[in-house]
Amino acid sequence: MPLPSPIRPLRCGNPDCTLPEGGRCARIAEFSEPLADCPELARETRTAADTPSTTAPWSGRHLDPSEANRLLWRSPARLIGVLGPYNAGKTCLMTSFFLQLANGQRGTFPYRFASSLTLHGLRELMEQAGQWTGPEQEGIVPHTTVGADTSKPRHFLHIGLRPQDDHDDRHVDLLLSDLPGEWVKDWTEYVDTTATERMSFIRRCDAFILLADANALLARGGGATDDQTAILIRRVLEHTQDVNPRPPLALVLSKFDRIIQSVEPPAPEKRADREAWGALAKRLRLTWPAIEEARRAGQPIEVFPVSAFPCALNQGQPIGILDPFAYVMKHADSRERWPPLEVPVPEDARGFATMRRWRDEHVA
Amino acid sequence: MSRNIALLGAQFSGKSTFLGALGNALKAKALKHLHMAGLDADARALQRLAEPLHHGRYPQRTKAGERQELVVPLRTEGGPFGSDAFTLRAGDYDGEEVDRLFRDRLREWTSEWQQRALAHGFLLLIRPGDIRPPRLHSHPMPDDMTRWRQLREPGASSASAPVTAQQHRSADYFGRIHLEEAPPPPYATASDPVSIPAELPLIELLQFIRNVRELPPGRRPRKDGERFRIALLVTAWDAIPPEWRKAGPAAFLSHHFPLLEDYLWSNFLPDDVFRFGLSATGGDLKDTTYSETYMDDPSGFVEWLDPAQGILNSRDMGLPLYWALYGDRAFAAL
Repeated sequence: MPLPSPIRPLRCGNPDCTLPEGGRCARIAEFSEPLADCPELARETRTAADTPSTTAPWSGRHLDPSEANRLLWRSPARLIGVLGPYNAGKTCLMTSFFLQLANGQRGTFPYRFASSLTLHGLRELMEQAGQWTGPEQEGIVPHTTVGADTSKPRHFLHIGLRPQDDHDDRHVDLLLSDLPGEWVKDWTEYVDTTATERMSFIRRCDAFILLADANALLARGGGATDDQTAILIRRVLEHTQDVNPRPPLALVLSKFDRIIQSVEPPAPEKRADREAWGALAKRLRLTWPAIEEARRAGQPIEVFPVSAFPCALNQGQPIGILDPFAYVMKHADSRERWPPLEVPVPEDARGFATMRRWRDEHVA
Repeated sequence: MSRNIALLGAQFSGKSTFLGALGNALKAKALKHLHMAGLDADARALQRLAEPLHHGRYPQRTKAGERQELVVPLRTEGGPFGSDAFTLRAGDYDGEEVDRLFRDRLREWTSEWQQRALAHGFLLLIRPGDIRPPRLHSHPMPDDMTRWRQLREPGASSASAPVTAQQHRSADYFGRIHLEEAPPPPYATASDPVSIPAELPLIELLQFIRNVRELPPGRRPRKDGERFRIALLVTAWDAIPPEWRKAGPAAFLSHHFPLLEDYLWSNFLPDDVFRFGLSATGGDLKDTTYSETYMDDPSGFVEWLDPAQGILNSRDMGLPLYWALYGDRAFAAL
């Protein structure tokens, strides 16, 4: 019996379609089963003989775990686990962060853009965000989905950075996890084999940005969000307890613009004080003890109010976006400073001793 | 091996107009040090671009799918250059090629592109969609607490220092522009729009070019064999508002394409990147009066910022090519 012909790779002419790479059909609203129905989707008809001998060096979409892993071998790479439940605003945070870099609004973030292997993915997210008309409309960027090919999900964004310091000649690969909220929730609640496999990158993370929807926290039933956030912090603590030094953790209270009339964000120096968070303090009943537990365990942790999209893109700037990134990078990319070399001067070398004394007295 | 210069540009960047105007200037022997070194077997492409300019009209945008590589053999002569042959290659000069490469890289990253990636120098044509007004550099760094307050009380004034008349002088717009090649963009105010960067296809193309040349990201090429120059040309420079013309192409690019500027800063030595303002026709051919003038005296100009002398200009449109070949020595030819 002849073997069936191999399944030919998928191809789609629609530039917004990411289904062939394991993403989402651009016309999903029209076709609930795009694999069967979408007319733009087709199997490759090219044979090996007429396939171009050259292809682009990378796809430009989100990276899959093996691609991310290859980058991590290229030192120095920094992997940031951006985690939070469904609808917490993870993808919005990353999109807004890249938009700030792209608009030259780095503020005190001490890096400049140097490269990206996922520009296509980032552009799709930015264009989606550009179509959002304001808070009255739901969904700023599409929710991250599991994708068609679950064996190789593409869930990492890449941004290459170069320190602004002229003396620092490195290129730092920054990898940001962009996972479906359902995966994070599953892993938070019950770490089984599937969850362990999906979240295997956690142990390699150099830092974490955890998100909690501030609006959901303050709303009726906010206790559930508080509970999820507290468990997430504890889960991260548990998975990083053997890591030395402990990776930093930034807790982002997202969508803060929606509660701005009820809670005034505290000044940076007061954010470690629970009471400074006003009405929100009461709603962090389980989260705050988890934060304190992390502090006691030696985990650097800070809380940040953030509004990634307080209004449509053409109407104004985000608030607080760069702070959590600057914070985690300060720890994740810190390097040990060696003390200046001080060669002992022999007793009889009076000239050197005189010079050193003069230096200590006259040079600051 | 003959040297190559590759001409690249995104959609609506004015490549066709520049090539047509350059072709006409070469045929008229109007450029002091740049001459044609023969005619490519297929001269139709250059002819088609140059012809509308004889009638005072812009060349039509190349239609998608018309794929033809434009090859112009050239030589420099005289001045500081000596006799040197090189080739200007303009890809398939279809205005959408860079965007298409970004969207459909599986099919579009052809061996032809990869050959082009090994060029000795690149002319990168850019034209912004929207021109933003210049902003004072002395504008204070944004304070998130102030922004939160403004969001909470929309009528509340910002704590920013008032702008004085002294600061409004255009000479102060960009601070130390004569010392820095590409000054950083100013800080946005809370109500400033957030722009989606248009330069991503160009950055991706530059990344591909570096990949072909085996340059890892973030490494500024320093050795002779690996260095290459990029001349950035802001086209339709005659239509740019006077305050921007006064600030120069470097400030203009830094404010309108900050991500591209960051990319270039991170990946190239400052000596290997130069920014020009280019007007291939010297004015707007859609203006019938100017169109008549252009037909009598077809010329364009190039402007740039000299660190010592401020804004300079030249009617020699070959200057960006000289610079791509010879670096700063090119300015001695003027």
